[in-house]
Amino acid sequence: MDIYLPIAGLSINAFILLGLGGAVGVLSGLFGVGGGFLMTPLLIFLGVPAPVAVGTGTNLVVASSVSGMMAHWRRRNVDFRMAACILSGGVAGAALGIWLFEVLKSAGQIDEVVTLLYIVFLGAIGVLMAVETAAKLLRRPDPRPRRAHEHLWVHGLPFKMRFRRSKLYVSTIPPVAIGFLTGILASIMGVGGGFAMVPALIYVVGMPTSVVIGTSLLGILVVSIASCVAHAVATQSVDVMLALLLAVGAVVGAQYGSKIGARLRAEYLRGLLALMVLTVCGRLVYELVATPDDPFRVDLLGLP
Amino acid sequence: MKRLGLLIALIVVVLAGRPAWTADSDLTVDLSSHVVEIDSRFTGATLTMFGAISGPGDLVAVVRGPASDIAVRRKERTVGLWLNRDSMTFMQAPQYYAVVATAPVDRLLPADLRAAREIGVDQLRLQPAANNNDGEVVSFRDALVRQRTRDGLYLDQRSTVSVIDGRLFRVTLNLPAHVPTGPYRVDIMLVRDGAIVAERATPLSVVKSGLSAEISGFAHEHRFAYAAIAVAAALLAGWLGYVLFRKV
Repeated sequence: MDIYLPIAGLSINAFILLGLGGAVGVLSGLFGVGGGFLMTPLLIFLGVPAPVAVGTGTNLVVASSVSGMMAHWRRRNVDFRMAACILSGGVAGAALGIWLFEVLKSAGQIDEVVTLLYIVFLGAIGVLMAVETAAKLLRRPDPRPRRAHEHLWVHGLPFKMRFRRSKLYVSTIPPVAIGFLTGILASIMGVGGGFAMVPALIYVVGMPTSVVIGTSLLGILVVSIASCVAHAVATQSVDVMLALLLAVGAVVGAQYGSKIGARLRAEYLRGLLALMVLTVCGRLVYELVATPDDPFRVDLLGLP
Repeated sequence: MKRLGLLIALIVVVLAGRPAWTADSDLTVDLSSHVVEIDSRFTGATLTMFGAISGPGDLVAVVRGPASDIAVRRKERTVGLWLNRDSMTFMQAPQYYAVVATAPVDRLLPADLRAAREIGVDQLRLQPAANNNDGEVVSFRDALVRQRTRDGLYLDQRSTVSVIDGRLFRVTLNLPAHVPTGPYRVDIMLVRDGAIVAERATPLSVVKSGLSAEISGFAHEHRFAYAAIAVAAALLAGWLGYVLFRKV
């Protein structure tokens, strides 16, 4: 059943879109990532023009993250105070990121900068998580009584605040800084930024994995609403028909994702996320290194 | 049913054209439809051009879509990585171009005439924006034509022209689902002995209609309202998904 997408300007089988939305939704609920970094390349692969893929992706992320966030909220896994810290930095970061995007665009080469940023971040995060997971899985169970969290260097910083949901009493500087950096990345790369925020909150702030996912989904929700509005107003590149078809799949997928996530051990969850992040990273490296079939690319100018 | 309609249309054309069946009216042409409407179930369309010719000769049909500036970028290996290096912008290049004929156009018409009238994909006048050296232009131009051809948006001869009894003809052209919207121009020429002896131009427009047109029009005219609706719809979809699945 092919359906014509009014903004993208082509028709795609509706079931392919539902399935694609579902797959990304499962990942979203499972790992607390918006899935934008997977959806955008997949839509481009289906023939959707790149700006429409990015703009529509932000709209889809709104749907999938609200659904996943509410499921985590019900399990009391959203730390609103932490989310407020992250977003206060995130808004400032996003504003700076949009300015940087314009600077890079006028200098040309924005595509390469975005791809290289993806590779650096995905590669670093993926390796870090994979190493940690492997170490945890190979090690024997630790008989010593476990502390609530490990004491990291960042916990010595000032402006401490109590985060009850996260069972932490830490400085507000790291979450605000993480929000700021994620905001920059999100607006340059056109994604929600969950894939960078989740590991940062785990490793730098020391938040429990279960709370991180719900909290980062709330952050992603706010960031993606802002960027969806920006894309719709500035470039009219948000295709609601495409977004809703993907969203129907995604919201269903997100529910299953968060249910699976509740049953899996945190190490496995981290290991799977590491695997996925490294796969996407590997694909991007391959694209950049392998000889392309056609070194030329054709772009119609002045169209969405 | 379609065949019958076409036959009736052909008869009407022939009858209507009869008083003028003299030397100055060697060619009578019409389209099955002057408007191709893209609705939400659009998966491409078949454009049928039909008409009558007075005597022997070959037919050439050229369909030209709306023009826009088209950028072609080239990747080059730079310290091991394939990065976009050079780009060239072709001014006002057709977004869609098709030529169909009863025989290969290079056998029907001399090269100078084909070049003057832009008959054939290889004869399209694609003008780069900046002054570039010729060797570069050729490779960028070829890349543009190659990719548009691969996407089914530039085509040479890949269609059928049937002539019945040497007088009635029919040309069918399949427009893909991603056919660009805008004004088109259809030129049908009667060719005899390497010269165009008669020709007719017909306008065609490809427009979005129904829900597709409303969504795309609204997105451009009421940007903030569209953004608000898109976000609200996404929030509602996400919330509904959550509510429905909580009960299960």
